[in-house]
Amino acid sequence: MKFILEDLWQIEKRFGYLPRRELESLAEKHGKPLAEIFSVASFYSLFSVDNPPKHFIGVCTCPSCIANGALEILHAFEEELGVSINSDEGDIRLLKLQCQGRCDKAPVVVIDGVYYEKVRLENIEKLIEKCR
Amino acid sequence: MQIERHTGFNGLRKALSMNPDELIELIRNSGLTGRGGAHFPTWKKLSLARSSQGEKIVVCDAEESEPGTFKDRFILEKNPLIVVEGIAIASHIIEARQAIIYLRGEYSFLEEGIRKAIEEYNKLFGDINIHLIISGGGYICGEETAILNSLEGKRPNPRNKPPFPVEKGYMDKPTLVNNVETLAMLPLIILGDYDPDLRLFSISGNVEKPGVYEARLGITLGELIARAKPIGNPRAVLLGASGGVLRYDPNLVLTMDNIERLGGMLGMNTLIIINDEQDLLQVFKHIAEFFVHESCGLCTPCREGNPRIVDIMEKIIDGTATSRDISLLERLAKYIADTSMCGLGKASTKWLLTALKYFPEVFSNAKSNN
Repeated sequence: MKFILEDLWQIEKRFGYLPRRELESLAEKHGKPLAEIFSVASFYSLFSVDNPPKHFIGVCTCPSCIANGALEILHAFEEELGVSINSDEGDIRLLKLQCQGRCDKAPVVVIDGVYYEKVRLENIEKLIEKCR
Repeated sequence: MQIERHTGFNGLRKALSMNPDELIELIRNSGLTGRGGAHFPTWKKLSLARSSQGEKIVVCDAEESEPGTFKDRFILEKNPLIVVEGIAIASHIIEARQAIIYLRGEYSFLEEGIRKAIEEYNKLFGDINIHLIISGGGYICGEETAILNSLEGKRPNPRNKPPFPVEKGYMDKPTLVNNVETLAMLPLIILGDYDPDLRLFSISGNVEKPGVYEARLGITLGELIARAKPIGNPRAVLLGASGGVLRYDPNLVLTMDNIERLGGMLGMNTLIIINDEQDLLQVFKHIAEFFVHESCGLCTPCREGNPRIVDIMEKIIDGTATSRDISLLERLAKYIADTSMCGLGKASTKWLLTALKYFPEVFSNAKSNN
């Protein structure tokens, strides 16, 4: 059994995103048009088809995290970093995340793939330092 | 908890000495239904897959992405062996030689434990080839036909049913897709150690001790939530994002029928407690955003309707919504539920229909003119 998902993960882990040239060779390997491979790769939330910014900060905004202060944390990141949500400017991209399955450890923040659980407003500055 | 029992592959040993039809009968008598939320009788799925012809596949659905739900994560953390054992039993019943565990990418930290459990199985038995595939992330990937497309390297849109996966699944082969918890129950049933009334509840939100709690169906909400120690005054209980929202009532008896009568769904036994200090409008708007993000885009009503719901929720928050917007909300909610193809689309507005019914005051910010 061969799974394209395994190839996509290998590329993502190696480059930190899915470069076009790699998707082209994957398309060739599987005998599929690039458009089809791209349509698959771009669907998943854990893969990036663009050259990513230096740092990703994601704040889960599902109900359990919101009930535990996720929106205050999101806005604190906005203010401290001077960036707006989903903006592509600068080195840091701040995102709203969907449920991460850690609702018992809410609120959850993900920075460059590392999970931070039960985050409190007073931890924000320390977390931002990880991006500097 | 029954799920933490170390069955040591004894359920599998016993199953291997039994006839698959006997096993199906045993599972039928247990009353087990799918714990992924749909509650399809497990024996029936096994029986249909068994009677299909050709090479067969078992898929363990570990793409648990429903907001507020983390019981499959808990099972895979605490007892991956029982899940692997369940997969081997299901494979024996339907005569499959290939099995796939489809794990959500956000749970990749569980990979090592699962691989160890597979190794253990391989050392002792090894007649089934169990693959572990990590998903690229997406709520829809937990839908049983979307998984199949994902595994085939296609865009994980759901497929039309019929044909059902038990007839035509992965690569057109008969495929049994079962949730982690469902499969984990099989060794217990075979060993006569299964209590049909026990459920795993994922409890989170405004509680001091969020976590997975085992309780009997029929327990009252108040009794169960007392174990998790509520913070402040509970106002609402969300049954995940797709199960709807109810007013918090400590006397509410937790059974599937009871919740369904109220317009909700107790599919995965998810309970998110929201107290009266929270801004429910913000909670609701973000549930709407969740479905915008997670819609696969295949059906127009779900793809285009959910963003309209977010727009109106934002207008309510800004104080610019009119009564016309509110009636549009209700129409959209019904229309999306009626016309979407898959379970995600159909359930994507259950929260809104129940919110309009039980929390009208939240929407009363709309101006009465239009």
